[in-house]
Amino acid sequence: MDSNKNSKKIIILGLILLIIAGLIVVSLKGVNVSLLFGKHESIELKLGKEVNMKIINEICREVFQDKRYVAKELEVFGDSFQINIKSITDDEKTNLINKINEKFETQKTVEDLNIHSISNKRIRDVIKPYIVPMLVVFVIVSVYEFVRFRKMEAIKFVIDSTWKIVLTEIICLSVVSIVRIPVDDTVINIFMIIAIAGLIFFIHKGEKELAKIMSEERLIKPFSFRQNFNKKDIFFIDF
Amino acid sequence: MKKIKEIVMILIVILLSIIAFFGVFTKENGIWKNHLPDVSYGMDLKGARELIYVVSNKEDEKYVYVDEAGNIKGEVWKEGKAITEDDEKSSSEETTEGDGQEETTNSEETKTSDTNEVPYTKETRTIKKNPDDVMNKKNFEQSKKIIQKRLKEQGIDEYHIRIDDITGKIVIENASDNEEVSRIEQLVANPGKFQIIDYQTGVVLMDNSDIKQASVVYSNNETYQTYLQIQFNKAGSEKLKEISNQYIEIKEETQEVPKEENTETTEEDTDKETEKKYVSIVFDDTTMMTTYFGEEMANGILQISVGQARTEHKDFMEDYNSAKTIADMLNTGVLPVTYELETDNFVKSAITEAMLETLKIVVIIAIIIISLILIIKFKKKGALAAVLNIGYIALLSIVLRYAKVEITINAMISLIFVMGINVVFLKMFLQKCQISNNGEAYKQVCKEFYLTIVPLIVIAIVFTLTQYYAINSIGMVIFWGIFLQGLYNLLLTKTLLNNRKD
Repeated sequence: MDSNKNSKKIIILGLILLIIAGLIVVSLKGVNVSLLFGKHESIELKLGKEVNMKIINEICREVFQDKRYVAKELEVFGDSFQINIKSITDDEKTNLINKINEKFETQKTVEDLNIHSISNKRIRDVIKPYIVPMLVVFVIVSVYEFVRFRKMEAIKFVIDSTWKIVLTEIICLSVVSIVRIPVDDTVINIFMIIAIAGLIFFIHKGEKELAKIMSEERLIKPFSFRQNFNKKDIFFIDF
Repeated sequence: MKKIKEIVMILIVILLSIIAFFGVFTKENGIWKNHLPDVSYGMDLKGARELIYVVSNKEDEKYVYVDEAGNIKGEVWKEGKAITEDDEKSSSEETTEGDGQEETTNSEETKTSDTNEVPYTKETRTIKKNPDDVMNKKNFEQSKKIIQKRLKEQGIDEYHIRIDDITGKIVIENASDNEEVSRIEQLVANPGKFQIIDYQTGVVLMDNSDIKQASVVYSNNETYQTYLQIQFNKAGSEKLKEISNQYIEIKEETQEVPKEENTETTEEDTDKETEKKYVSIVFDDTTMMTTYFGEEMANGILQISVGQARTEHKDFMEDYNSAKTIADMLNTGVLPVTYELETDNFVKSAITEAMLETLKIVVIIAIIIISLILIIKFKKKGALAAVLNIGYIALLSIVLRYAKVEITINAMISLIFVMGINVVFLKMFLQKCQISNNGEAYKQVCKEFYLTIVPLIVIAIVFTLTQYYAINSIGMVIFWGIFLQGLYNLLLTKTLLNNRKD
């Protein structure tokens, strides 16, 4: 029993430390956003020849080495491409053009590269559309829980399940910020799925508890005339 | 009889699977054509139009009216056209030279009044599209908000917008067709500046600050005529009333001349000189119309006809939509910063078709593994459940295509989630069948299962009703997933697995 309590304490302490560490990382470094989410350079080039994206990716790997990049095809004619990268140096530009000329037998110059600085997507802008629908869902589900689990301690049940879901989300957020997982739409969606799964889990748990209470009630409940006789019979007995 | 029913149902499941995974092909003009619609992918999978807008740095020298405080009160116009200081000097010289040489006018003539006294000084100024004082973070943010509002009003939800706080550069990614992209271009590149200008002089009489609300109305009298209806605020209404009394047609009786001296009758004709004072209604430096008022506008509402009277619905809708665009721009306010389009590219998704094929293979392998687990654990019933599960996925795939549900990465995750939920249902059902095989198993499992997934049902409804495309597609996938799961399991799974003895 004591060892159980101790392990519980250790887990709680670990979780608190994890959240604190997450908070420190977020306050110092911020959340790590994916390349296309964050501020980056977009390099466009119209080659005038059919572009093979495999070759472009190979060139990018050679030129940018460890740097993260995303190469995409531009337009529908298949003769242009776009490389998205955090930043690009003059040497890398020259190297990139040389390698492209070499592989595609073109005579492009660094001036042909169309470079745009693309600002970051704000996380609040991405999260904002989700807030109202998620709140509406939480309110409706909470009302449902109040009604469904009225035979249990409904308020306690709702508060308990809500704070546990919120805590799970905070823990996940801490893990994401400590491990520096690049945040994008998909990560936000996974957070949402965790919240949904949490809701389903607690309702499932609630249903089990409710079934238990109902079966206990059935066992404890004294013999009831109302259940076993119709009105006429009751009248007759009363008489 | 029961056996035949079961065989028919299994055949239906197989048929559904064949249709969903291989398509329905017929030969048309020698070409095989698939009648099953393609999956509609969202912009994160299909690609997007990327519009890059930069802050305009254009500047023009303009001859303008300036009030005592130094504010510009309009460009100097002559007969509806902006003139320069030189133009004015040369024309005044010509007028001086030509004095007294003007021919006497005809019996009835129309001329515009040029007798206006403008209480402002005139000077030539270099006017920047974006003066230095507007180039700040606050105005860039304000512009972004206005653009977002405009896009919302126009029902454009599938886009991402980024703004650079320092340069003001705006990047809009949109997954739509050319028609919608051109609307976006219009909404971003047009500041939404509305002016009623004195046609004779060029003095601005009214502007956006006088507008309360703009809307689109139409008259339906054999033909359809679209009107842009502008309701002015209190100050604007007063101005409109005043303008409508000033800019009118004035007929003055000038002289009475006997028509023909020789005629017997003493009939006399009255010569009339008609003087009209016009106003120009200008939207973003483009004159929408030049007119004068026929009556006093006391109600503070101005109706401007857009296009012509139309008999074709398509033409009418074009007029209506362009009027709606202007109304939305007027309602959302003037962009503090003027933008111009730098580039417009279609950028394909970084997720290639090969990646999607790989994902499909992974899902197929997962389905095979789940099927094997079901078969090993529940034997014949498990095998039937595996076939039924494949049938459900096939049906869901067909319905999502016909319902034109946009599949984004997030919708894909939701799809996998919904497919997983069906497996959970089947597992619960098979387990219950092992315990109680009295035909009640389905009912009991349904009660337990659907009471548990209430949050998912709520999410399906709320998200489906949400406009934002990324949330809507998740909602649609979950909605169709749960709805079809209920229907499919009631019609097929229940019949095939309930009361069945291995």
